[in-house]
Amino acid sequence: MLGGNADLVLLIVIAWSIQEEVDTTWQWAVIGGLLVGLVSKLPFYFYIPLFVITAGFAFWLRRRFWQVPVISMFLTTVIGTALIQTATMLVLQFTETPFSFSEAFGFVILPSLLLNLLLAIPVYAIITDLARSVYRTARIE
Amino acid sequence: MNQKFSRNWQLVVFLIVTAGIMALALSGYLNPMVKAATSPFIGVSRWISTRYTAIVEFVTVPKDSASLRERNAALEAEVAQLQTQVIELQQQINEAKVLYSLLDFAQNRPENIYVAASVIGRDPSPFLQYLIIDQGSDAGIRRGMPVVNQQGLVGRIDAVTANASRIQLITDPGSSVNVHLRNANLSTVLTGSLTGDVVIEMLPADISISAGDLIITSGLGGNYPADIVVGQVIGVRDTANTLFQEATVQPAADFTNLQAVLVITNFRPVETSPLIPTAAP
Repeated sequence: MLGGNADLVLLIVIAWSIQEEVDTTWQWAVIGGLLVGLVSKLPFYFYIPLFVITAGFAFWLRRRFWQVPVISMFLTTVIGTALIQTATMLVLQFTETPFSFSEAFGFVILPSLLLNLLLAIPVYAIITDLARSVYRTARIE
Repeated sequence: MNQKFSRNWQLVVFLIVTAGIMALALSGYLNPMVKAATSPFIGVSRWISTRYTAIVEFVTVPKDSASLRERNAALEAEVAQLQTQVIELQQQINEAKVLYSLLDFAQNRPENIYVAASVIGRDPSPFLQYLIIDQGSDAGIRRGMPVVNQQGLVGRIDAVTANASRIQLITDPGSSVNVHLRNANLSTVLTGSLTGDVVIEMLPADISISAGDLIITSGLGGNYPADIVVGQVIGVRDTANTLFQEATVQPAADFTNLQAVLVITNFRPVETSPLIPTAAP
């Protein structure tokens, strides 16, 4: 697990996107991608399309697994993490940062995926409560 | 006359009896009698006192309880505030310790000019080993400046904004540092890796290297000043029938607990890329 990182921003964007009442999916994906990109060494726009694709996938899945949204959370976490880490790895390979694919998979991608899956449930629970409180307040108003 | 005489006798007798009673009382002979005489009164008094106290408590305790609760809440709030202060003071002590050690390091190398900075962030990608510090170009920091702490070399400035900078650590896979192996008297290149290990590859097989050998910057390449401690060798991989050996290095700086660093601002890296020959068209 030493080489992997949990991507909390990605998990929050995914959990927000699979909420039934939420209609501001891509906007938060852009904001999340921009926030991560501004801190990262990679170009600031690098994460935006990846976050939007992941959020779009979550949006697409929520209609198919509407009875068990946790399945959407897990599936999107796997796809999103793999997408972002693989894209990062490819960009670094193109910029001639020396490391092997097997090392990257075993030491970074797999541990990051496991960490994200571990955190998926608590993040989903918190974001679900947040979405309920936000949209209940909106309904009352 | 008789009346006066009998009165005097009465007074004498009274005085004698009184003195006798006092003498008996002082000598303790009357104690059993006194106890026997007073015990019923003491019992009655205790009975009345117990009931009275119970009635008084019944009437006054709710008030006391409420005031005690208030007092307890106030004391708990005070304890919480003091605990917060203790934590803040402990953090300040830790920061002061780090700053004192950085100051010691800076005083031991007066030829350099340093800018101290706190670490405020890390790169979110696990592929990249970069830190973000809270000082930027406003403090005189420029791209390429070396970064150290009291333990040794940390990395170099990779990007700068007005109030923040990004450091590429020597453990980053894209990092390479020209170093000098003191015991072997050999200059070579140390590189980072994805696993966080720092290694020296392509060491000639005939060079004798052992665990514990000190590694310092060589100054070659113009990216880092010379003689900064980088780390020490912790293992050598030397397989038979190979031309080269590989050394694993333990960096001097502890990258997991980096809180503050020093940027050497009077060192400007030398741009050598125009001097590198390119293939003719």
